[in-house]
Amino acid sequence: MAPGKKVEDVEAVIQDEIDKLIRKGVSREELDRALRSIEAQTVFSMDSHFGRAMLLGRAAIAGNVRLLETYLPSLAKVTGRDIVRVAKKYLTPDRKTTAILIPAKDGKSPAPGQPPKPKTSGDK
Amino acid sequence: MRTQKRTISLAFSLLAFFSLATASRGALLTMEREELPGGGILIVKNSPQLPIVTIRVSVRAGSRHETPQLAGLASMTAASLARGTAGRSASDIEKLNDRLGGGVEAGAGRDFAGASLRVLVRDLEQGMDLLADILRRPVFPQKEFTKTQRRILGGLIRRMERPGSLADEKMRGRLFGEHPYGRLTSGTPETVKAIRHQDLTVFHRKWYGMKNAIFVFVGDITLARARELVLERFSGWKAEGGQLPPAPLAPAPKGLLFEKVDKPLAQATIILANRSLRRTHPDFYAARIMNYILGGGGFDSRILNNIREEKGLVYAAYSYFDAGLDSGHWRLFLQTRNESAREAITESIAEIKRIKKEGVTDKELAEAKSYITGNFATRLTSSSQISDYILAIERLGFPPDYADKYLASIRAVTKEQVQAAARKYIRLDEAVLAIVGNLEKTGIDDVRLSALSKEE
Repeated sequence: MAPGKKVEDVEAVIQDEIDKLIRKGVSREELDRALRSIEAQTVFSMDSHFGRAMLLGRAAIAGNVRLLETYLPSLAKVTGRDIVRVAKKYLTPDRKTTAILIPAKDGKSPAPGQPPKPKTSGDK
Repeated sequence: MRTQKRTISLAFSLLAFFSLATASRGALLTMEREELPGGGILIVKNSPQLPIVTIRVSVRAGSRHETPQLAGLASMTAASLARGTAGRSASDIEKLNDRLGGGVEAGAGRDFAGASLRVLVRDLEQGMDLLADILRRPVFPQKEFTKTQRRILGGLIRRMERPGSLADEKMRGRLFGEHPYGRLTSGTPETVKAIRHQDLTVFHRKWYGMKNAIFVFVGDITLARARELVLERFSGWKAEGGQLPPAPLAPAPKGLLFEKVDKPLAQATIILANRSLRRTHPDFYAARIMNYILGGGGFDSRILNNIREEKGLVYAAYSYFDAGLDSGHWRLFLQTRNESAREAITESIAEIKRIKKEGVTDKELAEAKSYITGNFATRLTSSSQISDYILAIERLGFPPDYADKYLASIRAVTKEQVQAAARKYIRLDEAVLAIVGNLEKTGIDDVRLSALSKEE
C-alpha cells in the first residue's frame, strides 16, 4: 500500500466492488474480455514443461484429465446471470477472511508463535 | 457462432498438444536472423506446437544511456511506455492487456530497455499494434508520470529495507564507482525525485528507434510473417542518438575494502565481490565451471558443503559471475547468524585460496560439466525463456548457433584452465566485502580479514 493510506479504505473499496458486481452484474464487454483472457492464459499455461504438468495434474485432481477437453467450451457458456448467481452465493460476509500484513515498527518480525491477530469480518 | 467455434478449436489444440509426438532434433536451437531496413535486427524461432507467439522488442536505451544525476530515468521511461499513447489511455491499455491474457510488459536493464508480449495467434495483429503504439508513440501523461514516480519511490524505500538489496547497492557503488554498473538501474530516491516529466520525452526521442532495436519472435510464426508485421508498424521509427562507446572504467580498488551497514537484525547478509571478466571473454567457460565447483553448484559446491553442511554456519551460500557486455563481477553471497558471520567469511576465504592453490579433481570437473551441459536444455522450455536466451546472445554479438558452441566450449575445459580461472578471476586483493547486520555481534575484524585476504 502507498504510504499514508488506510487499510480500512482499501477494504471498503474492495467490498464496494463486490457489492456492485452483485447489484449490477457485468457488461457483455467485461464478460467477453474475461473469457478471452482466461482462454489465453489457459493456453499460455502450457508454454513450459512445468506448466503442462501442472495443468494435467490439476485436471486429474479435479476428476480426470479429459476435463481439459470440456474446460474451454464450458467457460464459453457462462452468462452474466451465472456470474451474479455465483457471486451472491460465495462472496458473502460469512465466508470472508481478511489477512492484513503489517510491518513491525522496529523492523523486526513478531516473535514466532505470536502472529498478529487476524481480522475476520465473520466474527462481527 | 463464431465465439463457440474459436473456443472449440482452442480446446482441440489443448489436448492435441499433449498427444503430439516429440519432433526429432538436430541442432540444439535453430533460428533465423536478418537485418531490417532502417538498421533493426529481426530474429525468429519458429515453433508451431502451440498457437502462441512471444514477442520481445529490445532497444539500446538502458540505464547506461542516462546521466548519474538522473539515475532511474531509463527505467522510468520504460515503465511509463504503457501508461498512455497518442491514441490510448493507460486504462485502454490495461483493458486490452486483460483481453490478451497478460499483455505488454516493459522495463529497462543496464544496456537495453524494451517491451514484450505473449499473445495467442488470433490476437497477433492486435498485440503488434499495441507494441508499436507504446514504443513509438508514448505521451507520458503528467498524471501517470506522477503516479509512476510515486510507485517507484515506494519500491525504492521498500528495497532499502531488504538487507540483500542494501548490501548489493553498497558493493556495486564501491566496486564500479561512476561506471553504470556501479549504480542501480532503478536509481535512488534523490535521483528519481529529480526526474522531470519532459526528461522522459527527451530520453525516448533520443534512444528509442529502429537502428537501436532487436525484434525477437518465438512461436507459431514464420520469418516472412514476422517481417511483414514489423515493417508495417515500425518503418520510419527514428532515434536521434547513436551507439554509445563503452563507459570508461576507473582502476579496480586495491586491497579488501569494507562496506558495513549496522542494522538491528538477527542475521548478517554478506556479499564478497570483485570485478571480473565480461561475458564474451574466451575464459568465461572455464570460469563458469570453476564457480560451479567453488560456490555456484548448490549442494555440489565446496563452500556450501563446508560452511553449511559440515559446520552449519549459514542459511544461504552461493556465488556467481555476473558477466555483462563491458565488464562484470564475481560475487559470493552469504546469509548467517550475526555470531557466525566471521567464521563463515574466514572459511569461504579458505576455500577460495584452496581452489587457487590446489585446483579441482577430475571427478569435480566431470560433475560440473555434466550438470552445466545437462541442465542447459531444461532452462529453455518456455517461449519466454527461449526468447530471453535469443535476445541475450544477440545482444552479446554471439552467432545464432551459439548454443552448440557454448556446450562444446564447456566440454573442452581442462582442469588447468579451471585453476587458472580461479587465480585470475577471483581477486581477494581487489575485492569489496559488504556486510549488513548487527555489526557488534558479527565481530568483524578488518585488519585480520585484510591480512587473510592477501593473495599469495
